[in-house]
Amino acid sequence: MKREKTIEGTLESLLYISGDEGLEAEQAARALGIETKTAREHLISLKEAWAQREGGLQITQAENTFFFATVPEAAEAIEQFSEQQNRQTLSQAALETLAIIAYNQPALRADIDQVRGVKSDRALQTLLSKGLVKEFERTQKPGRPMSFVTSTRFLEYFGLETLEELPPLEDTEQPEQADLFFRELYQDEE
Amino acid sequence: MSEQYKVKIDQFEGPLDVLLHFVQQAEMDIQDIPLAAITDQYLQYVRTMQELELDVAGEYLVMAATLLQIKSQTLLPVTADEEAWIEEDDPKEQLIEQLEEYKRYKEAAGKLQQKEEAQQQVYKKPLSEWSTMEEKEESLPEGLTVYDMVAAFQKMKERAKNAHPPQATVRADEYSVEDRMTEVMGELEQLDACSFYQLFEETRTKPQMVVTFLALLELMKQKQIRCEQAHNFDDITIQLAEKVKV
Repeated sequence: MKREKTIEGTLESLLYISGDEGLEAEQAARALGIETKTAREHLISLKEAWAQREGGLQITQAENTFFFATVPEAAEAIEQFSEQQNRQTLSQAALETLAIIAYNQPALRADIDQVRGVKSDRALQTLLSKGLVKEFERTQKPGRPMSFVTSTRFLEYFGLETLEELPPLEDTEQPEQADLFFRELYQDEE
Repeated sequence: MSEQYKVKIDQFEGPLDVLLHFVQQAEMDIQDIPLAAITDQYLQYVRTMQELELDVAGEYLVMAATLLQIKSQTLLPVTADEEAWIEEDDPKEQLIEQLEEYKRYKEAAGKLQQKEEAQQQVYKKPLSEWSTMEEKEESLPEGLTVYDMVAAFQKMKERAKNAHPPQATVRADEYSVEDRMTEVMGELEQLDACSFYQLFEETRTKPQMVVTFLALLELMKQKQIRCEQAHNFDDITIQLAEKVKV
Protein backbone atom coordinates (compact mmCIF):
# COMPACT_ATOMS: atom_id res chain seq x y z
CA MET A 1 0.00 0.00 0.00
CA LYS A 2 2.81 2.34 0.88
CA ARG A 3 4.51 1.55 -2.42
CA GLU A 4 1.31 2.38 -4.30
CA LYS A 5 1.21 5.74 -2.60
CA THR A 6 4.82 6.44 -3.52
CA ILE A 7 4.14 5.67 -7.17
CA GLU A 8 1.13 7.96 -7.30
CA GLY A 9 2.97 10.69 -5.47
CA THR A 10 5.82 10.52 -7.94
CA LEU A 11 3.40 10.50 -10.85
CA GLU A 12 1.80 13.59 -9.41
CA SER A 13 5.18 15.33 -9.35
CA LEU A 14 5.84 14.31 -12.95
CA LEU A 15 2.43 15.64 -13.97
CA TYR A 16 3.22 18.94 -12.32
CA ILE A 17 6.57 19.22 -14.09
CA SER A 18 5.08 18.23 -17.46
CA GLY A 19 2.53 21.05 -17.44
CA ASP A 20 0.83 21.69 -20.77
CA GLU A 21 3.09 19.22 -22.55
CA GLY A 22 1.35 16.47 -20.66
CA LEU A 23 2.69 13.26 -19.24
CA GLU A 24 2.45 10.15 -21.36
CA ALA A 25 1.82 6.92 -19.48
CA GLU A 26 4.76 5.38 -21.33
CA GLN A 27 7.18 8.17 -20.36
CA ALA A 28 6.03 7.94 -16.76
CA ALA A 29 6.47 4.17 -16.74
CA ARG A 30 10.02 4.53 -18.03
CA ALA A 31 10.87 7.12 -15.38
CA LEU A 32 9.51 4.95 -12.58
CA GLY A 33 10.67 1.63 -13.93
CA ILE A 34 7.17 0.18 -14.01
CA GLU A 35 4.91 -1.23 -16.71
CA THR A 36 3.12 1.25 -18.98
CA LYS A 37 -0.17 -0.44 -18.13
CA THR A 38 0.49 0.01 -14.41
CA ALA A 39 1.47 3.65 -14.88
CA ARG A 40 -1.71 4.25 -16.85
CA GLU A 41 -3.85 2.63 -14.17
CA HIS A 42 -2.24 4.75 -11.48
CA LEU A 43 -2.68 7.91 -13.55
CA ILE A 44 -6.35 7.12 -14.01
CA SER A 45 -6.77 6.42 -10.31
CA LEU A 46 -5.04 9.74 -9.58
CA LYS A 47 -7.35 11.48 -12.00
CA GLU A 48 -10.36 10.06 -10.18
CA ALA A 49 -8.94 11.00 -6.80
CA TRP A 50 -8.46 14.61 -7.89
CA ALA A 51 -11.96 14.69 -9.36
CA GLN A 52 -13.37 13.49 -6.05
CA ARG A 53 -11.41 16.10 -4.20
CA GLU A 54 -13.31 18.84 -6.07
CA GLY A 55 -10.46 21.27 -5.58
CA GLY A 56 -8.93 23.88 -7.84
CA LEU A 57 -6.94 21.46 -9.93
CA GLN A 58 -7.92 18.50 -12.02
CA ILE A 59 -6.17 15.86 -14.03
CA THR A 60 -7.32 15.69 -17.62
CA GLN A 61 -6.61 12.96 -20.10
CA ALA A 62 -6.19 12.77 -23.85
CA GLU A 63 -5.70 9.14 -24.76
CA ASN A 64 -2.50 8.13 -22.94
CA THR A 65 -1.42 11.63 -22.05
CA PHE A 66 -2.33 13.22 -18.73
CA PHE A 67 -2.32 16.86 -17.69
CA PHE A 68 -2.59 18.93 -14.56
CA ALA A 69 -5.09 21.69 -15.26
CA THR A 70 -7.19 24.25 -13.45
CA VAL A 71 -10.92 23.69 -13.08
CA PRO A 72 -13.38 25.62 -15.28
CA GLU A 73 -14.99 27.12 -12.16
CA ALA A 74 -11.81 29.09 -11.56
CA ALA A 75 -11.63 30.50 -15.10
CA GLU A 76 -13.21 33.84 -14.29
CA ALA A 77 -10.95 34.48 -11.33
CA ILE A 78 -7.89 33.39 -13.30
CA GLU A 79 -8.73 35.81 -16.09
CA GLN A 80 -9.25 38.59 -13.57
CA PHE A 81 -5.99 37.73 -11.89
CA SER A 82 -3.85 37.50 -15.03
CA GLU A 83 -5.72 40.37 -16.67
CA GLN A 84 -5.94 38.49 -19.93
CA GLN A 85 -8.13 36.02 -21.65
CA ASN A 86 -7.22 32.83 -23.36
CA ARG A 87 -9.53 33.45 -26.30
CA GLN A 88 -7.80 32.74 -29.53
CA THR A 89 -10.27 30.53 -31.29
CA LEU A 90 -10.19 28.58 -34.50
CA SER A 91 -11.86 30.01 -37.61
CA GLN A 92 -15.00 28.46 -39.02
CA ALA A 93 -12.98 27.16 -41.97
CA ALA A 94 -10.46 25.53 -39.65
CA LEU A 95 -13.20 24.00 -37.50
CA GLU A 96 -14.97 22.53 -40.53
CA THR A 97 -11.73 21.15 -41.92
CA LEU A 98 -10.88 19.69 -38.56
CA ALA A 99 -14.31 18.09 -38.23
CA ILE A 100 -13.94 16.43 -41.64
CA ILE A 101 -10.52 15.04 -40.73
CA ALA A 102 -11.66 13.96 -37.28
CA TYR A 103 -14.60 11.92 -38.54
CA ASN A 104 -12.88 10.49 -41.62
CA GLN A 105 -9.32 9.90 -40.62
CA PRO A 106 -7.10 9.30 -42.39
CA ALA A 107 -8.50 12.00 -44.69
CA LEU A 108 -7.13 13.44 -47.91
CA ARG A 109 -7.03 17.09 -48.87
CA ALA A 110 -9.37 16.19 -51.72
CA ASP A 111 -11.92 14.72 -49.25
CA ILE A 112 -11.94 17.98 -47.33
CA ASP A 113 -12.30 20.13 -50.44
CA GLN A 114 -15.07 17.86 -51.68
CA VAL A 115 -17.14 18.14 -48.52
CA ARG A 116 -16.60 21.85 -48.03
CA GLY A 117 -16.95 22.74 -51.69
CA VAL A 118 -13.97 25.08 -51.44
CA LYS A 119 -10.22 24.77 -51.27
CA SER A 120 -9.12 24.23 -47.69
CA ASP A 121 -5.35 24.60 -48.03
CA ARG A 122 -5.09 27.55 -45.69
CA ALA A 123 -7.29 26.01 -43.04
CA LEU A 124 -5.31 22.79 -43.22
CA GLN A 125 -2.05 24.71 -42.93
CA THR A 126 -3.34 26.44 -39.80
CA LEU A 127 -4.31 23.11 -38.26
CA LEU A 128 -0.93 21.59 -39.09
CA SER A 129 0.96 24.52 -37.61
CA LYS A 130 -1.14 24.35 -34.44
CA GLY A 131 -0.38 20.66 -34.20
CA LEU A 132 -4.06 19.72 -34.17
CA VAL A 133 -3.65 17.47 -37.20
CA LYS A 134 -0.62 15.67 -38.53
CA GLU A 135 0.46 13.98 -41.72
CA PHE A 136 -0.33 10.30 -41.63
CA GLU A 137 1.00 8.64 -44.78
CA ARG A 138 1.22 8.92 -48.53
CA THR A 139 -1.64 6.96 -50.02
CA GLN A 140 -1.41 4.71 -53.05
CA LYS A 141 -3.84 6.90 -54.98
CA PRO A 142 -2.70 8.76 -58.13
CA GLY A 143 -0.23 11.47 -57.19
CA ARG A 144 0.34 9.66 -53.89
CA PRO A 145 -1.51 12.32 -51.88
CA MET A 146 -0.77 12.73 -48.17
CA SER A 147 -3.45 11.69 -45.72
CA PHE A 148 -4.08 13.48 -42.43
CA VAL A 149 -5.15 12.40 -38.96
CA THR A 150 -5.90 14.30 -35.76
CA SER A 151 -3.26 14.46 -33.04
CA THR A 152 -3.34 13.94 -29.29
CA ARG A 153 -3.18 17.72 -29.08
CA PHE A 154 -6.53 17.75 -30.91
CA LEU A 155 -8.12 15.66 -28.15
CA GLU A 156 -6.54 17.84 -25.48
CA TYR A 157 -7.61 21.05 -27.20
CA PHE A 158 -11.25 19.98 -27.24
CA GLY A 159 -11.18 18.21 -23.89
CA LEU A 160 -11.75 14.76 -25.34
CA GLU A 161 -10.23 11.66 -23.82
CA THR A 162 -10.54 9.56 -26.95
CA LEU A 163 -11.86 9.92 -30.49
CA GLU A 164 -14.89 7.90 -29.38
CA GLU A 165 -15.94 10.90 -27.35
CA LEU A 166 -16.47 12.96 -30.49
CA PRO A 167 -20.12 13.98 -30.65
CA PRO A 168 -21.86 11.67 -33.13
CA LEU A 169 -22.24 12.99 -36.66
CA GLU A 170 -25.86 13.77 -37.16
CA ASP A 171 -27.22 11.57 -39.89
CA THR A 172 -29.55 13.71 -41.95
CA GLU A 173 -29.57 11.36 -44.89
CA GLN A 174 -33.03 9.99 -45.45
CA PRO A 175 -33.05 8.26 -48.82
CA GLU A 176 -36.79 7.66 -48.87
CA GLN A 177 -37.30 11.41 -48.89
CA ALA A 178 -35.38 11.80 -52.15
CA ASP A 179 -38.40 10.69 -54.14
CA LEU A 180 -40.54 13.22 -52.36
CA PHE A 181 -38.04 15.88 -53.32
CA PHE A 182 -38.20 15.00 -56.98
CA ARG A 183 -41.96 15.01 -56.97
CA GLU A 184 -42.06 18.42 -55.35
CA LEU A 185 -39.36 19.76 -57.60
CA TYR A 186 -41.22 18.74 -60.71
CA GLN A 187 -44.46 20.14 -59.31
CA ASP A 188 -42.55 23.32 -58.65
CA GLU A 189 -41.46 23.63 -62.23
CA GLU A 190 -44.88 22.83 -63.62
CA MET B 1 -29.39 45.42 -50.32
CA SER B 2 -25.69 45.43 -51.09
CA GLU B 3 -24.95 46.34 -47.47
CA GLN B 4 -26.78 43.26 -46.37
CA TYR B 5 -24.72 41.04 -48.65
CA LYS B 6 -21.47 42.62 -47.70
CA VAL B 7 -21.86 41.35 -44.16
CA LYS B 8 -22.90 37.90 -45.25
CA ILE B 9 -20.02 37.39 -47.66
CA ASP B 10 -17.55 37.30 -44.82
CA GLN B 11 -19.57 34.71 -43.02
CA PHE B 12 -19.87 32.16 -45.77
CA GLU B 13 -17.39 29.38 -46.11
CA GLY B 14 -18.08 28.66 -49.76
CA PRO B 15 -20.91 28.00 -52.20
CA LEU B 16 -22.30 25.10 -50.17
CA ASP B 17 -22.49 27.32 -47.12
CA VAL B 18 -24.37 29.94 -49.14
CA LEU B 19 -26.84 27.36 -50.42
CA LEU B 20 -27.27 25.92 -46.95
CA HIS B 21 -28.00 29.40 -45.70
CA PHE B 22 -30.77 29.86 -48.27
CA VAL B 23 -32.24 26.47 -47.43
CA GLN B 24 -32.24 27.23 -43.71
CA GLN B 25 -33.62 30.70 -44.38
CA ALA B 26 -36.53 29.06 -46.20
CA GLU B 27 -36.92 26.83 -43.13
CA MET B 28 -36.96 23.74 -45.25
CA ASP B 29 -35.34 20.38 -45.14
CA ILE B 30 -32.57 19.95 -47.68
CA GLN B 31 -34.53 17.12 -49.30
CA ASP B 32 -37.53 19.38 -49.83
CA ILE B 33 -35.83 22.47 -51.15
CA PRO B 34 -37.44 24.27 -54.06
CA LEU B 35 -34.29 24.12 -56.12
CA ALA B 36 -35.50 26.59 -58.74
CA ALA B 37 -36.08 29.32 -56.16
CA ILE B 38 -32.77 28.58 -54.45
CA THR B 39 -30.97 28.74 -57.79
CA ASP B 40 -32.34 32.23 -58.45
CA GLN B 41 -31.31 33.36 -54.99
CA TYR B 42 -27.86 31.92 -55.44
CA LEU B 43 -27.31 33.56 -58.82
CA GLN B 44 -28.43 36.86 -57.39
CA TYR B 45 -25.94 36.45 -54.58
CA VAL B 46 -23.05 35.75 -56.98
CA ARG B 47 -24.07 38.73 -59.11
CA THR B 48 -24.06 40.99 -56.07
CA MET B 49 -20.60 39.75 -55.18
CA GLN B 50 -19.44 40.71 -58.64
CA GLU B 51 -21.12 44.09 -58.39
CA LEU B 52 -19.25 44.71 -55.17
CA GLU B 53 -16.15 43.86 -57.15
CA LEU B 54 -15.30 41.06 -54.80
CA ASP B 55 -13.13 38.37 -56.19
CA VAL B 56 -15.62 35.63 -56.85
CA ALA B 57 -13.86 32.38 -56.22
CA GLY B 58 -14.06 29.78 -58.98
CA GLU B 59 -16.02 27.44 -56.72
CA TYR B 60 -18.92 29.88 -56.62
CA LEU B 61 -19.10 29.97 -60.41
CA VAL B 62 -18.89 26.19 -60.66
CA MET B 63 -21.82 25.96 -58.27
CA ALA B 64 -23.77 28.51 -60.31
CA ALA B 65 -23.14 26.39 -63.42
CA THR B 66 -24.23 23.23 -61.63
CA LEU B 67 -27.44 24.86 -60.45
CA LEU B 68 -28.21 26.14 -63.94
CA GLN B 69 -27.56 22.72 -65.36
CA ILE B 70 -29.99 21.17 -62.91
CA LYS B 71 -32.57 23.82 -63.62
CA SER B 72 -32.31 23.38 -67.40
CA GLN B 73 -32.57 19.62 -67.05
CA THR B 74 -35.84 19.89 -65.22
CA LEU B 75 -37.21 22.10 -67.98
CA LEU B 76 -36.25 19.82 -70.84
CA PRO B 77 -38.26 16.76 -71.79
CA VAL B 78 -36.46 13.62 -70.76
CA THR B 79 -36.17 10.59 -73.04
CA ALA B 80 -36.20 7.06 -71.66
CA ASP B 81 -32.48 6.63 -72.31
CA GLU B 82 -31.64 9.81 -70.54
CA GLU B 83 -33.82 8.89 -67.61
CA ALA B 84 -31.69 5.82 -66.98
CA TRP B 85 -28.59 7.98 -67.12
CA ILE B 86 -30.05 10.53 -64.72
CA GLU B 87 -30.94 7.81 -62.22
CA GLU B 88 -27.33 6.82 -62.16
CA ASP B 89 -25.56 10.11 -62.09
CA ASP B 90 -28.08 12.76 -61.22
CA PRO B 91 -26.51 16.17 -60.52
CA LYS B 92 -29.53 17.06 -58.38
CA GLU B 93 -29.10 14.11 -56.15
CA GLN B 94 -25.38 14.69 -56.01
CA LEU B 95 -25.90 18.27 -54.98
CA ILE B 96 -28.37 17.29 -52.29
CA GLU B 97 -25.99 14.67 -50.98
CA GLN B 98 -23.21 17.20 -50.97
CA LEU B 99 -25.35 19.73 -49.14
CA GLU B 100 -26.37 17.20 -46.54
CA GLU B 101 -22.84 16.07 -46.04
CA TYR B 102 -21.62 19.62 -45.70
CA LYS B 103 -24.39 20.35 -43.20
CA ARG B 104 -23.35 17.37 -41.09
CA TYR B 105 -19.79 18.60 -40.83
CA LYS B 106 -20.81 22.18 -40.33
CA GLU B 107 -22.85 21.04 -37.35
CA ALA B 108 -19.99 18.92 -36.12
CA ALA B 109 -17.74 21.98 -36.42
CA GLY B 110 -20.27 23.87 -34.29
CA LYS B 111 -20.09 21.20 -31.60
CA LEU B 112 -16.32 21.29 -31.69
CA GLN B 113 -16.50 25.03 -31.24
CA GLN B 114 -18.57 24.57 -28.09
CA LYS B 115 -16.02 22.13 -26.79
CA GLU B 116 -13.24 24.53 -27.70
CA GLU B 117 -14.95 27.26 -25.72
CA ALA B 118 -15.46 25.00 -22.70
CA GLN B 119 -11.88 23.83 -22.80
CA GLN B 120 -10.56 27.36 -22.88
CA GLN B 121 -11.81 27.75 -19.33
CA VAL B 122 -9.14 25.30 -18.31
CA TYR B 123 -5.59 26.49 -17.86
CA LYS B 124 -2.33 24.58 -17.78
CA LYS B 125 1.07 25.78 -16.75
CA PRO B 126 3.89 25.59 -19.25
CA LEU B 127 6.35 22.72 -19.11
CA SER B 128 8.94 23.31 -16.39
CA GLU B 129 12.09 24.77 -17.93
CA TRP B 130 14.43 21.88 -18.55
CA SER B 131 16.46 23.65 -21.16
CA THR B 132 17.99 26.27 -18.87
CA MET B 133 18.80 23.66 -16.22
CA GLU B 134 20.58 21.52 -18.78
CA GLU B 135 22.64 24.42 -20.06
CA LYS B 136 23.93 25.20 -16.60
CA GLU B 137 24.88 21.60 -15.99
CA GLU B 138 26.88 21.47 -19.19
CA SER B 139 29.02 24.46 -18.29
CA LEU B 140 30.13 22.94 -14.95
CA PRO B 141 33.10 20.57 -14.61
CA GLU B 142 32.11 17.10 -13.53
CA GLY B 143 32.66 15.47 -10.15
CA LEU B 144 32.10 18.50 -7.96
CA THR B 145 30.67 17.98 -4.48
CA VAL B 146 29.30 20.24 -1.83
CA TYR B 147 32.65 19.94 -0.02
CA ASP B 148 34.39 21.59 -2.93
CA MET B 149 32.05 24.46 -2.49
CA VAL B 150 32.75 24.68 1.26
CA ALA B 151 36.50 24.58 0.61
CA ALA B 152 36.15 27.35 -1.94
CA PHE B 153 34.18 29.37 0.55
CA GLN B 154 36.85 28.97 3.20
CA LYS B 155 39.59 30.03 0.79
CA MET B 156 37.59 33.07 0.01
CA LYS B 157 37.26 33.89 3.69
CA GLU B 158 41.03 33.52 4.06
CA ARG B 159 41.67 35.93 1.26
CA ALA B 160 39.26 38.39 2.76
CA LYS B 161 41.11 38.23 6.08
CA ASN B 162 44.46 39.07 4.41
CA ALA B 163 42.93 41.86 2.51
CA HIS B 164 41.96 43.46 5.85
CA PRO B 165 44.83 43.04 8.39
CA PRO B 166 43.75 42.98 12.04
CA GLN B 167 43.32 46.40 13.55
CA ALA B 168 44.16 47.52 17.08
CA THR B 169 43.25 50.68 18.86
CA VAL B 170 46.18 52.39 20.50
CA ARG B 171 45.08 54.46 23.43
CA ALA B 172 46.99 57.39 24.71
CA ASP B 173 49.00 56.58 27.85
CA GLU B 174 47.04 57.36 30.91
CA TYR B 175 49.93 56.53 33.15
CA SER B 176 53.35 57.55 32.02
CA VAL B 177 56.39 55.61 33.12
CA GLU B 178 58.05 58.87 34.18
CA ASP B 179 55.22 59.79 36.50
CA ARG B 180 55.24 56.36 38.04
CA MET B 181 59.01 56.53 38.54
CA THR B 182 58.63 59.78 40.50
CA GLU B 183 55.85 58.26 42.55
CA VAL B 184 57.90 55.15 43.38
CA MET B 185 60.90 57.31 44.29
CA GLY B 186 58.69 59.43 46.55
CA GLU B 187 57.41 56.35 48.33
CA LEU B 188 60.88 54.96 48.76
CA GLU B 189 62.03 58.28 50.21
CA GLN B 190 59.51 57.87 53.00
CA LEU B 191 60.12 54.23 53.64
CA ASP B 192 63.40 52.55 54.20
CA ALA B 193 62.52 49.64 52.08
CA CYS B 194 59.45 48.57 50.19
CA SER B 195 58.38 45.18 49.02
CA PHE B 196 57.73 44.51 45.33
CA TYR B 197 54.20 43.29 46.04
CA GLN B 198 53.48 46.37 48.11
CA LEU B 199 54.11 48.59 45.09
CA PHE B 200 51.50 46.64 43.14
CA GLU B 201 48.87 46.72 45.85
CA GLU B 202 47.58 50.10 44.70
CA THR B 203 47.57 49.17 41.03
CA ARG B 204 44.17 48.06 39.78
CA THR B 205 44.44 47.88 36.05
CA LYS B 206 46.75 46.11 33.69
CA PRO B 207 48.18 49.32 32.25
CA GLN B 208 48.97 50.48 35.79
CA MET B 209 50.78 47.24 36.58
CA VAL B 210 52.74 47.40 33.35
CA VAL B 211 53.69 51.00 33.92
CA THR B 212 54.81 50.23 37.52
CA PHE B 213 56.92 47.32 36.32
CA LEU B 214 58.51 49.42 33.56
CA ALA B 215 59.18 52.23 36.06
CA LEU B 216 61.00 49.81 38.35
CA LEU B 217 63.08 48.45 35.50
CA GLU B 218 63.97 51.96 34.42
CA LEU B 219 64.91 52.96 37.97
CA MET B 220 67.07 49.85 38.26
CA LYS B 221 68.77 50.68 34.98
CA GLN B 222 69.47 54.23 36.22
CA LYS B 223 70.75 52.63 39.42
CA GLN B 224 68.49 54.73 41.56
CA ILE B 225 67.10 51.68 43.30
CA ARG B 226 68.38 48.31 44.34
CA CYS B 227 66.40 45.15 44.30
CA GLU B 228 67.18 42.12 46.41
CA GLN B 229 65.62 38.72 46.43
CA ALA B 230 66.59 36.07 48.94
CA HIS B 231 65.26 33.09 47.00
CA ASN B 232 63.44 32.35 43.80
CA PHE B 233 59.81 33.40 43.93
CA ASP B 234 60.36 35.31 47.16
CA ASP B 235 59.21 38.82 47.58
CA ILE B 236 61.63 41.40 46.27
CA THR B 237 62.88 44.13 48.58
CA ILE B 238 63.35 47.47 46.92
CA GLN B 239 65.49 50.21 48.42
CA LEU B 240 66.80 53.54 47.25
CA ALA B 241 70.30 53.02 46.00
CA GLU B 242 71.72 55.95 47.91
CA LYS B 243 70.19 54.63 51.14
CA VAL B 244 71.84 51.28 50.62
CA LYS B 245 75.16 52.98 50.09
CA VAL B 246 74.70 55.12 53.13
